[in-house]
Amino acid sequence: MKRALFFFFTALGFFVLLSVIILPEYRIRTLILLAVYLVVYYFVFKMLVLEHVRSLSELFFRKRTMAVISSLIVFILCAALGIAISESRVLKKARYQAASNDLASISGEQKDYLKEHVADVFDVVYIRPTQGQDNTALFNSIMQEISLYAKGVRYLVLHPVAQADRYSQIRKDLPSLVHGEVAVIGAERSVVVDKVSGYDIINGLYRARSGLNSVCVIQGHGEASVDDFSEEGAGIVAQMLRDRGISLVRADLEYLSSCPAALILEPKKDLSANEIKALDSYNGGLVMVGGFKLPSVKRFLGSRGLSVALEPVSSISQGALRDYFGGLVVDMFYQHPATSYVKSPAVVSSAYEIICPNCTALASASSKNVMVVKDNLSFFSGSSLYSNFFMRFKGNSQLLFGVLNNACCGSGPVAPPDSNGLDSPKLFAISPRYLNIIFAVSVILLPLLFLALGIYCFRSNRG
Amino acid sequence: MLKTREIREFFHSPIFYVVMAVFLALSGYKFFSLLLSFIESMSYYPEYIYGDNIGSMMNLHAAYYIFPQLFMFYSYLCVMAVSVLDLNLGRDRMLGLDKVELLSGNKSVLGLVLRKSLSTSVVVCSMMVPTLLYPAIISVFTELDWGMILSAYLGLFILVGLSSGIVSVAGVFKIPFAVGIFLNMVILLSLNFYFFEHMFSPFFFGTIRLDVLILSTLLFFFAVSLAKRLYISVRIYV
Repeated sequence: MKRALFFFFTALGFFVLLSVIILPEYRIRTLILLAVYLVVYYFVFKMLVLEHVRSLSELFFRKRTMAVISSLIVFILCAALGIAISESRVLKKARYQAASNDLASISGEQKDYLKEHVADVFDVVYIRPTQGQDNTALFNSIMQEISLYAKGVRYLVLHPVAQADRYSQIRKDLPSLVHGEVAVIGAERSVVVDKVSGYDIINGLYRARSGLNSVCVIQGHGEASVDDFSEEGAGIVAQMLRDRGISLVRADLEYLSSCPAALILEPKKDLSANEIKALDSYNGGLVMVGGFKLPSVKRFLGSRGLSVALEPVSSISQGALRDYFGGLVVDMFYQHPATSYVKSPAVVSSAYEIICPNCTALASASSKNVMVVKDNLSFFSGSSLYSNFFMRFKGNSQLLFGVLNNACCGSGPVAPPDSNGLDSPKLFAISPRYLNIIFAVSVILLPLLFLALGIYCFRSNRG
Repeated sequence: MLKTREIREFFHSPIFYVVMAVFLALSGYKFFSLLLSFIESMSYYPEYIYGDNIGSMMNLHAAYYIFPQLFMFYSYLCVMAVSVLDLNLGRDRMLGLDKVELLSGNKSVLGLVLRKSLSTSVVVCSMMVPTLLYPAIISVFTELDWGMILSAYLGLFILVGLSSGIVSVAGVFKIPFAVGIFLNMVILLSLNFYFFEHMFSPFFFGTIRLDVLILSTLLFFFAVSLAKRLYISVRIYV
């Protein structure tokens, strides 16, 4: 009887440990495994540990009462351990999902941002999906942490079917909201967050607080894509502007009139007569980069009084920047709301001089105007100003942000690029010489030192 | 409870230094390769994004990029080091040196098991001290979140303590040396991969979790008391 009890509880205890580690979610499979496990355990028990257990049982069960108490304690311990482990697995799952987004919890900068800037009341609502992956646990975990620092932030999980009234009310403001997404609802405006992660929700709070402005990116003529993260693409600038409150929305020239501002990035194919007509009649802010060699664009620019030189601007004494990146430095910026955020030179692959007596010059390279403003049109005659490769230069992003901000929002800036500290460059640069020293110290010298100590120890032990 | 004799024995063994040299060589190489990888991946992002707060939010910071991965790697090395050091240096004491003292009844078994586990933990944790060089190197070039680093070390120390408690059970039995190390490694690594890795990884990202602290302590004492019981039964049986 004692042996049977001991066998049963130890087998159960081991099984609980095994099942919470390996098979926590499949009950039927777990029961089958329990049966198989008990059979195998019985044979192993009989073959290997019976004699040990005899002596152990003598220690454990000296008296009948002690046997009962010990069994109960073992059972309670196993159950408590199982519950504790399974509880921690739930937390772990949420944390692990957050960690898959590179961070288990929100970073110090995010906490500072929430503490200092998010004082208004926001409702953050997760629309629970009726099918597919449910991120409720992850959402609650993230929001618990966010609401610790942003006192005005409230959060809830909304079931779109059970709470249909509230859902339809939210969708009035946010028609693009779908199941599985998060709505950040503020007093003035609301935004949709399409991914449940700390970064995206905080970004949503930022956008809801500062204001989201749309700029249409015209597509369909071989323009650079905002989804392209290769060197030539415009993925990073789209990401950067989104972080700053300007959303780049893909659009067709057909629907240009509905855009508050539009951006055309180096078209490769000629525009049709209708499209040129749409551009002519467009009243919003239009920012154009390159493409002036296309006949239709040339005509359009000509109608605005702009002409572009055929020869590219040659660089004069640009030293290391040109040698290293092969770029042209745009180093002169004129006083204008569009250039008010520019604090560093921009670098582009090439640019052409713009001749326009009635335009306001914005930027020049080698004393030749390469960017001008005429009425609602801002035009840059070079290429690669927006490209992922050249966006590494602060001046490029500052210039592009300023021009777009001017085009979409006029004098009311959304968020200046360097408002959080212009003087805090954190470019992490280690020269090859230092890298060699780090390699020598951390990979060779330090282990060798301890190996030498081991040899010394061995020799002195023998001595 | 923890006496200097146990720890001294570890530090007088050449095997400890060999294990430490291997540990440092591997972790140093991992650190260097992560550093190179960080520099490479950083070069794809513009200075503007990287240099601003948003950059840190996107985890383009040396501390968030290098150290969580590095500490995850340490955790594998540590459980392997515990497997080797615990059985290598502790078993003789369990079944040899203190046997006479124990049979004479002068020493408590629980004390002996605890001392063995704690001394293994202290020694493995002392192996971590030279790795402070890596955050120190990074802090020369950029600002470092030392809170995150300390929390990662705390998580690692608890993991080491828990692992040494678990292997103290296996250390009781008279099994061939290599088999013992192999068994310890299999047990600890499988526990680590299936369970501990996810349990302790938040520490490596700067989060201190109370539930893990409590659970680890409970598991440690559970393992140690099991080892004590087994030790008594083996001693009587032998």
